[in-house]
Amino acid sequence: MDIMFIVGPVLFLVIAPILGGLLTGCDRVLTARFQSRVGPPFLQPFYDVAKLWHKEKAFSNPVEIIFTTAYLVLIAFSGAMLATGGNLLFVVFSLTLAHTFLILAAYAANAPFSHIGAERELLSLMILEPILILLAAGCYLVTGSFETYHMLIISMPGIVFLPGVFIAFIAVLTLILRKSPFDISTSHHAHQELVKGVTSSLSGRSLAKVEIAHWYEMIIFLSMLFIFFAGYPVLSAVAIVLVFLLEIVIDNVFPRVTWKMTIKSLWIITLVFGVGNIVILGILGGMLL
Amino acid sequence: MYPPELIAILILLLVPVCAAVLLAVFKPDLVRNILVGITSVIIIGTSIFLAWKALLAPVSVTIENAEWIGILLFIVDLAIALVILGLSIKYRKILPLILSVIQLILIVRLELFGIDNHEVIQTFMVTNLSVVMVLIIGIIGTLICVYALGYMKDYHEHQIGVPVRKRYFFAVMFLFLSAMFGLVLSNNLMWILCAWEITTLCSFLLIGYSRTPEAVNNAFRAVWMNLIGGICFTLAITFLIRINSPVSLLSVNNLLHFPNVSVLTIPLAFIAVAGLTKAAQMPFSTWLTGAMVAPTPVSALLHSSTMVKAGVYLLVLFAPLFSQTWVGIFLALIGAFTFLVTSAMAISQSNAKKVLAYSTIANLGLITACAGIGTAESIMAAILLIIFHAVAKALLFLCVGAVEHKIGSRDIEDMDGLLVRLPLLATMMVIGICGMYLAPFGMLISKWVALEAFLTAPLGFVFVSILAFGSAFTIFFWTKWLGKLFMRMNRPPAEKIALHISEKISVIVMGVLVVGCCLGFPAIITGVIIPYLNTIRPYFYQSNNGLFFNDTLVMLGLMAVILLFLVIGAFLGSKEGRTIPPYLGGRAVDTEGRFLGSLGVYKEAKTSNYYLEEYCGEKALLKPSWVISGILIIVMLVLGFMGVMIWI
Repeated sequence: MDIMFIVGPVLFLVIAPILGGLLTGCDRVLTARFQSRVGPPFLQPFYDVAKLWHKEKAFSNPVEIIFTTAYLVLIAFSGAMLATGGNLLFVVFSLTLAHTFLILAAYAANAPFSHIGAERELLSLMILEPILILLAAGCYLVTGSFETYHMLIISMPGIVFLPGVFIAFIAVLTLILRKSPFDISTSHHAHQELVKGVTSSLSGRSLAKVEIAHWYEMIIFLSMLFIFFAGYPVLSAVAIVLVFLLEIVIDNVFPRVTWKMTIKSLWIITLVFGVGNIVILGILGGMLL
Repeated sequence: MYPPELIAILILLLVPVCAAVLLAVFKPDLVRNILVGITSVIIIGTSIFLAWKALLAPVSVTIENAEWIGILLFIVDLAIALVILGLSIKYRKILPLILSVIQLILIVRLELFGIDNHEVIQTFMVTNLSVVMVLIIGIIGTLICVYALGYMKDYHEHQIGVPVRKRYFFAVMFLFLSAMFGLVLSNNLMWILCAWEITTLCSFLLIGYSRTPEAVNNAFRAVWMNLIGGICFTLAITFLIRINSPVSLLSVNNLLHFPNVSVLTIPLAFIAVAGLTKAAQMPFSTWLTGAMVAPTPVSALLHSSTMVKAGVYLLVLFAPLFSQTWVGIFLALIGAFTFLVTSAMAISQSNAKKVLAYSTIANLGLITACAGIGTAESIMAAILLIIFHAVAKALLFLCVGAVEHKIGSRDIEDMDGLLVRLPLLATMMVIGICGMYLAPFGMLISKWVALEAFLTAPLGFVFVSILAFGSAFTIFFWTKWLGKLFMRMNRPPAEKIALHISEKISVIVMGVLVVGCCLGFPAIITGVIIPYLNTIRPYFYQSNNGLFFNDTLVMLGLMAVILLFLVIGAFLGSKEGRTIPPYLGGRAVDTEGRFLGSLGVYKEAKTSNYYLEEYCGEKALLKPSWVISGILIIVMLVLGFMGVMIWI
């Protein structure tokens, strides 16, 4: 446990961006095939970031340097905390803080596109927050603690207790992976209304940092799926791959979802499945274990 | 010779009153500045001394001849009711008139026929909860009064036509402080009631300061809502007296240790309603949002250290009793509901003071929810929330007030690029806002504790779900405000106007306090709150089973260090590079960030924040939430009369 406390985070910090980059590449190729295009090379995300890193330093507001750095550092920090099997609630709050910095970077430019992007990124953060807190609450109700470590060592996989939370989590994953709502996210796809919204006024290294942070974030959220299938590594791996493919399909099936529809649909799902799950778990209490 | 604790208590109670009398007499500004300065130093020093004494050993003082003071306070009660009565007749307001008559009758009846036992009860009790309140009132309250010295000068320059009544203003402000000290230090419910009524009167007088029709209306709204609270408080005492008990139940201390809570449910339900009115919970929230017509120091005082804190203080004080009853559960539901609805309504506001008002009501809702649940963890969360909310909210109000006089607007849309325009005030504002909702700062820590408390409480899953959605709203409205402050400047800088020295001192000290509280919260928990919990729940905190400490603290520390490095980086890091105009969809842009139109005219590209009026506006939410919270209150009273208990 003690060694894992160091090794886990370090491994995460090194491997997560590589894995995240590869997944993004995979996503882009797959999506292209869905839309009968050839798509970019598999390693394109890395080329992009490498190129961005060597661009000229130019910005519309110098504070964006510090905000994007903060975004990257805090996302990586939250991931490292998760990798220690640490407090899930803390990870959630840390992720919120990280996102706040990204949003502030977009606000700082004071330009229409990035401003609207910031507002909508803020909306997606607002949509995301309840389900993450409910997830943490669910873990607490099951194990009596917010530590993810405890969730990994219970006898039955967590999905048995938290099926509703799982469904709601998968639903909001489209937002986190910057997928479905075309007018809310800053996805790589052509069907984007806001010229990349929140990142539209970032360039060069700032943008590269946001990209890397996004890779970290993908891995953080996908690895949160482990919570639901703890103790069954193969099952978890299969589940993660399936969920990832499912997200790409969802993205391509619903290309024209607006932000109002997103809020309504995702919060209804969160209310029905997430809250419903927590209420049932709360009423049944310890009887399940 | 009196013990030093008693002298300190008497200083806190009497010095503000004397100062109020002197301030009402002397007109010159210089005299007023000196008076306020000296009084503030005395109050701050004494409250720190009293807190120090009380933290070392709980202070409990009994003074003789208390019945004479009782009679004096009865006369004060009568005077308050008569003043409100008179003003209601003068301004022809029916509702306050009726309510103050009822209140008058109830108090007279109580005093003449109710209390017959002349049993000696402890006069003053200084628990750690009172210590927290004393420090909040003593330090924050007086800082606000100091701030008002500079603020009121500008106020009367901006508000032409409002009669200058500074003597009256400062006298009432200090009277308010004195009443608050009385409220948190007394052990006798009759005395607390008297202080309670004085705060109602003072807030009424302060809200109506400008005497514009709007101010008068809002002042009367505040007074009738708070009169309902006063009536409920009186009724609670009336019912308490009827209960057969070997010891006097008018003593808060005896009441808290009364073994048979099931006979207390009716008074508890009435006390809950009293607390709800003063803490501006749904459906009584409109008096606090209406109170923003008053000068900003008044709002700061009402929101952070006095008035509304009196309401939640009472609820938190009786929280151990609430925890065993269904009254408590419904009280908590009203609080949680208020938190959810008012957080949503804060999204729809662009007026900075109104956003602050709704956020105050929301946070008080959370405190109420914690008090209603009343377990040791939730009381801890409630006290933390009281502390962090008081410092951060006071700071924000002071900043908004000063900013309003400098840029001529209190609209958040006009605050873009404030960090460039007014660096000091904007920095303090950023500290205040971060303190209100971001990790690893104060309010978030309290929310975290609240979440843990909810999860272990009966019906906790309901509260957790409400908290989850409510805090999502909170993130939305605070972040969009924060974003405005950091914006690149697209407009000419404001003309240089220096802050008044008194404003500068208050704002800076308050900023330091916010940071200090955020850094020192483990000390606050172990040094102040856990000893308090041990006195009310001896069996609960025998072993601190790592509720919040251990690795969590390490993580928070790490996070703070990361943020510290980032802030240092922001100051020292290289800013080399080219500043370019922002991206406007490929259109031609000049250096100011304006569009170049097709006819060679420059047009400013303007965007504003989202307010989601259609979902979160007052129109959409206010009426339904009155109905829901009204039903909840009625159910709470019914449950109180039925005396339903929780058996765990």
